[in-house]
Amino acid sequence: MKRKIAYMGLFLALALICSYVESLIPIHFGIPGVKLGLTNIVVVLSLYCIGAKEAFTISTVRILLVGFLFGNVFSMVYSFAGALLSFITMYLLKKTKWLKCISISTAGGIAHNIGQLIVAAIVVETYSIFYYIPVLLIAGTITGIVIGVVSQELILRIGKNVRF
Amino acid sequence: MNKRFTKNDFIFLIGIFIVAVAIFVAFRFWGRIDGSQIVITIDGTKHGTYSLSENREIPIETEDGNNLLVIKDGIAKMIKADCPDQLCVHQKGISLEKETIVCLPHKVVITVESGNFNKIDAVAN
Repeated sequence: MKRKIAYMGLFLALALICSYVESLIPIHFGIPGVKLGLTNIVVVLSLYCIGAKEAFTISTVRILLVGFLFGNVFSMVYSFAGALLSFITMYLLKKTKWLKCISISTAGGIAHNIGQLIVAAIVVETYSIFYYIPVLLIAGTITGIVIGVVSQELILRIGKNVRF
Repeated sequence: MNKRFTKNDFIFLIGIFIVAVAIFVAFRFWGRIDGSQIVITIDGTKHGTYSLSENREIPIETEDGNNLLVIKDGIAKMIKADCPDQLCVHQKGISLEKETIVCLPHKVVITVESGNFNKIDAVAN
């Protein structure tokens, strides 16, 4: 149990660093919501190496901390919606045991974008922003695959060492 | 197959790819119409309609903060926003029907509309 908490702290710290690094990348694609999603590596990693409940806790606490450190309450709600939908999707897909990490991460990336878009549509009460769905779908697929490949390699290489 | 990639993943990813491209293509063919006016919505209520054909600056004042929208050469672009994330300022200018600029913190939405520019509506707003 103690070791598990230590690992959760470690993963949380990693997730924070990833969020920070991502906020430093000054690339804007001209479309809101398109970003790499580095933190998803940590979420996928903890989902595989620690467990679902723990991964969810890490993801939630990460959003709270990042919100207070670099963002505002608003960006917190926004990322939470994405993270929640993404997490549920990845958890359910992982449970079926049909798919490997790459597909799960891809589905997570897409779900993240869709979750954020839904919240954005509710907040501004306009459905025309669903115009961005195709771009966000493609962006989510590409980043999801990249993140999936990285996560898969990490799980294969260090996954066995995470024991508690 | 192996521990990284299986046949299931292949089918899944190809499926997602096809769906994404199909939606992308559908939206492209359906939405490539030049718009003639923009509608500004603040917190779900219509704030005003402006023609894209005349160059002008439109200051937008909301309870949550202020934005500055500029229409130039038929393209509407957000120039200034006093919000921390500046996402709407980094967004590309919009000119095609249904294209949208969103400033989430201020709940401002700018959408391009096309076709019959209704003068009566514009005046009423």
